[in-house]
Amino acid sequence: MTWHIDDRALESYVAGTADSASGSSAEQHLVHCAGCRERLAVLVPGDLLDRAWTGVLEDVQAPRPSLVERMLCRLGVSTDQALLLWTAPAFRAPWLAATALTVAFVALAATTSDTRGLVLFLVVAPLLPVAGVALAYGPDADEAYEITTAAPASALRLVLLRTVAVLVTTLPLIVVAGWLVPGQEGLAVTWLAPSLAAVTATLAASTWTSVSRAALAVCVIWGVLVVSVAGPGFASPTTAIAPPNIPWYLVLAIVCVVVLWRRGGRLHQLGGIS
Amino acid sequence: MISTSLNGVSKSFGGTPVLTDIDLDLGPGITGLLGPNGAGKTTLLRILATVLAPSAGRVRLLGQDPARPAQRTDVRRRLGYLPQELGFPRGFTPFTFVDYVAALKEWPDRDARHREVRRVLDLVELTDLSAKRLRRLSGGQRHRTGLAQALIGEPDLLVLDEPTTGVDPEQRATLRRVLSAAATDAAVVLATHQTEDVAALCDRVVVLDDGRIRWQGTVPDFVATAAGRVWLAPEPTLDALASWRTGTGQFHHVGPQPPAGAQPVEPSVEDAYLLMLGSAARTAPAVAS
Repeated sequence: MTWHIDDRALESYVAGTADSASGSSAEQHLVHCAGCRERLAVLVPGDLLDRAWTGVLEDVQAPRPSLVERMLCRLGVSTDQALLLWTAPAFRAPWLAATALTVAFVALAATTSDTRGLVLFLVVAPLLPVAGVALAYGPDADEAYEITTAAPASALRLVLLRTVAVLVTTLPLIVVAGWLVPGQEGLAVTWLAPSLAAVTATLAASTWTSVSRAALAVCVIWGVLVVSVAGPGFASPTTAIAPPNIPWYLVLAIVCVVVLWRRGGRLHQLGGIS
Repeated sequence: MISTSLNGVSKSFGGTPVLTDIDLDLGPGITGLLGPNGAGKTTLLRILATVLAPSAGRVRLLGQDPARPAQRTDVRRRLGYLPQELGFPRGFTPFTFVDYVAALKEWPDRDARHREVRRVLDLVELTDLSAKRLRRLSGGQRHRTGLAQALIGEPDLLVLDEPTTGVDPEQRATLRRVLSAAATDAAVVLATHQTEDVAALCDRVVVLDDGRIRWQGTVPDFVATAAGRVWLAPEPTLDALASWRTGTGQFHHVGPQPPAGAQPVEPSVEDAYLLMLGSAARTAPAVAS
């Protein structure tokens, strides 16, 4: 080597204040000059190397937060809550595929069949979020269920996060499917009220029994209700979601939310000590 | 350290007793839980991990009453738990899985959480594999991932259900090193079928059989219960509780009566365990069929 980097240039290189030409020149020289590398090593603060290595590990090991996580964080959700929400079963491909197929099937039945197809749609569509909630927590749905149970995270908060995940992934599909059923323009949204009531009723009932039993009971009640008010030969297939009935579903939903709020600590299947 | 204790604890499922009148005190150090399948080890660990409540008796974990929600949450903040069967969500890597559990354990700050995740993965020597899909890792590597999540936050109570099952000797040495380091300040309880782990790791041993504690005390005291009842003999015998041919061609003989030409040998934890359970089987009341 015929030259070496002077002290001031080396310091500015370490500090990151060197201009691009000087920095590139120093970098090229350092590759070939052991003496300057030794001088550089003395100047580099230890924590800088630690931070650089941590940054490398972070890039290699930690996956970049998903789009959903980043959006949630921008909305003010903490990173741990965003992570717990994003990892909910409702965001996984099998659930999304099963939901899409079911919705497509009942929408097709409602479109191509007589009033029986419409009744089938009305029975199934509001219950899909209930099924999602039933599968959102518990030993059958959560591979890490036992660890989840023994963790300090609030069971109620976790269940609500996963319910939100179910609603976010399921509702748009059903809204679109209902909108596509010809001659039933109101179908796209009118089932939302009974669906909301069914989901909150399932969660509230889960404070007494297991979520799967609660969901089953809600499904049976809703199915019997839709069929029984549809009249002989299903002459009035949409009676269950007729506008005069909507406020009752909303009242039921509010009551169930209050029950859930007051009894959330007794959620079965999650929270342990039962 | 604040104590963890069980007094008169029983647990039944549908009227079937699984644990009966368990008295147990746990302090810093490693307690090994031995017992045959169905002895109630997992149920006992699940009670210690706040997953199950006892049907009767008093449980204090780290000085807290887990039946009270606020105190239970406090215990869980200081608890590490590795269940017997641990599933991993599809698509997760060791890093994302441990990160997920750290979020469940209330580590809200992403940078601090990731530092902790890296620390525990480094402890179980999984740093190089931390970005690989869990389903592509070996059973032992997945097991170490399970242990890593239990170590988050340096828990005061570490409850481990068969932590060394399915891991090779090298990985087992790693796990032993990690557990012995953790036990310096924490109470560690591990259920295992590996008697050599108890001999290598544990300060105390508890033998469960048919839902009851048959023996508890220090490992040397446990081994001493087999003194004078373990032999090496040139021929096999039918009188032994257990007898097998060793690599030297002689027969390892565990039982009260020495066979002809037998020489006494130092007993092991396994010998003491076989004798204890063998005696139990022989003294159990006959049931009419």
